Amino acid sequence: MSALHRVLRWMDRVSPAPVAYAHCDIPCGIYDPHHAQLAAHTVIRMIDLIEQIPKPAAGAGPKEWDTYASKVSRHTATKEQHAELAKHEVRILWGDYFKPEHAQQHPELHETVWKVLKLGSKGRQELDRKQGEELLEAINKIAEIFWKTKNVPTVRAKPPYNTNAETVVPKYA
Amino acid sequence: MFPIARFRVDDRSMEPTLSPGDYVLVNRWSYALHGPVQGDLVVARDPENPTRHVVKRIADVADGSVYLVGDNAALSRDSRTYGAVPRDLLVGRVWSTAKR
Repeated sequence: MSALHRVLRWMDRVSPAPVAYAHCDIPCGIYDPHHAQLAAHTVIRMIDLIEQIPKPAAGAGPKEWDTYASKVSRHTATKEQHAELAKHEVRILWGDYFKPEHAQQHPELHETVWKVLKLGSKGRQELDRKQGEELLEAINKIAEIFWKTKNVPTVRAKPPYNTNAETVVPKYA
Repeated sequence: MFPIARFRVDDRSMEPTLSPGDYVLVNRWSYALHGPVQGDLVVARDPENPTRHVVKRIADVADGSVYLVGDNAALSRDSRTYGAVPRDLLVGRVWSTAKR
């Protein structure tokens, strides 16, 4: 930090300098981890639903197998889409919202993002509720960091989604 | 009017030249004798919201107006969006910068 910067910072405390914006593309500021959290809940829900699809009985004909395959495929497609969406949303927060000072204040940020990306890929590949819950938990951690940077307190609660899994909710209302 | 005005920089469209938290000192008399020149780092009133200021670089000078672009062009919202900026909106040329 230069001596000039120190002087100006001191002056800023006495009498704040006006701000000159180096405006970004869209002065957005509209970020929320909610989409990523929803996507993770959807992954968990799809895993549950896929496991609940009745398997064709022994000796079932091609029609039953086709119906079964079709149902599994549709739910799997949705599971994969939402796992990818969770990764996408977290990438946006990481690349566009979080700033170097956030990473300094929350040193676990980068590794948690990395974990989300890995678990998101697992969420596509596997049919494992535990991994889905781990994905949601990693995203919840991102949400907690996110809301801390906004000085908004959070609570953990189970939303009425049929996933029986906790989500981090901001208390800004 | 005292010629030097100070501004605190926010947002990232002028990176790597300026980053959020840097200060710039602006000479408000810089265009009293001669006009702006391409490449000048300037503070101007925001053409989209005249109560605010923007810090940008002059990419081109036309009759009565300047074309402002951010150094971090990929991110910057500037004359490419809002068009050329009337010269009266210029506050002055950045005379000195203080990096954080």
